[in-house]
Amino acid sequence: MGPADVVKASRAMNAAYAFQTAELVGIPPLAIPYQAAGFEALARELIAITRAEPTTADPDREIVDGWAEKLGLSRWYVWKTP
Amino acid sequence: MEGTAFSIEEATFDASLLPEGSRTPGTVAFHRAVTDYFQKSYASMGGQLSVVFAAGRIEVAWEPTAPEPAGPGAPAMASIGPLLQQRRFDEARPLLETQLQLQPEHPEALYNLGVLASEEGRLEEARLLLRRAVIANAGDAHAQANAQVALGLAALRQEDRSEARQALEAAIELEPRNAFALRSLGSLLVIAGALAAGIERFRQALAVALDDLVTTFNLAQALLELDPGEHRDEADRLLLRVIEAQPYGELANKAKDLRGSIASRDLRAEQPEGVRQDAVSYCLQALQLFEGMDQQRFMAVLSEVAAMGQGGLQINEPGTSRNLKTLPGS
Repeated sequence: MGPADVVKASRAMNAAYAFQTAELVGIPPLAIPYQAAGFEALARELIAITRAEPTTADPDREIVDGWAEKLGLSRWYVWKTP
Repeated sequence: MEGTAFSIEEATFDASLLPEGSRTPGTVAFHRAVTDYFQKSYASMGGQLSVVFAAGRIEVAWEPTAPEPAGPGAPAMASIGPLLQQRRFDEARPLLETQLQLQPEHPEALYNLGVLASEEGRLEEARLLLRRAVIANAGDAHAQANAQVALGLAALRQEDRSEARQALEAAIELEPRNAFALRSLGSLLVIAGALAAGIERFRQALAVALDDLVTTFNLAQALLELDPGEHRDEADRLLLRVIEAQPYGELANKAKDLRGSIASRDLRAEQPEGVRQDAVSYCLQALQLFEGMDQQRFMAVLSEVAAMGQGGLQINEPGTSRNLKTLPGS
């Protein structure tokens, strides 16, 4: 995974926060920079993952895994049992 | 909502947001369509929008209220600021020059063009622009102080200490807690040989910005230059603070070197011939020990000494002793 991919993943996450915040506070222009830069589709997919019904007893882990898979980060970490 | 400014490469703009026939970056149709897109997107917010195309990028700035009138076609400073922050000077310069053509005494344009000229070594031009910036910023003490500091530094680069000092003192008068101005004036005074006055300015700068490591180092250096005997302890404490806060890098290396000179001076202190007999005696004993050793053991001892010294030995702590495993009884 090269730096360009890292930047893209980071921007995609920021885009998800921006679109989510824009919706929460009712100010759509908050997300314009990310929309213009072509991150809307990916951001909405990430948001959809957070809103999906959990299928396991650990929804947080599901969301993290879902985002990681979508952003190509899955191979970067392993879960450890506490 | 506060204003916002951002920059996107034309090539990475989401072309699907634009009408067909206007999706080719760099074309007039593309620029017009992108501008329309942003105008529609921010229409609900009111305020002032600026969309500038430069060097293959789209610079967008939105401000909640209209900026000062600058005439039609003037690029908003909000769109130039990010270029300067990103050190994209070649792109910022033509925009600033356009701004200045439209408004010859525009305070920010004068200041930024002056700073750019100074950074690029066009010092005569820089000083002219910055003198105008000082006057143009008369209504804003902070901005005027910044212009005075920049003028002072440009003058200093051209070795005009007189104007440099005048400008820096004026900046401090406008903003007595401007740490950068205090530090710069301190450096100027030290260069001019006025060590005590320079030290005073460094102390004032540190009172405002305690964590400023450059000032901390400068103060230590000036103290040692003024009177190494009287100020040794304070200078050493300051240098240690620099090294602890930032253990690596150019400043840390300078601080370590200066501490080394303090230690060297300590070692030779009160030795009329500049040599400590006890140190000489220890070195002789070591040489005698090594002389009687075979090569293999000698290398083992040497490796252990090297490993021990790798992290640096505190020469200022003679009470600390270390033992070598490869040399029992040492």
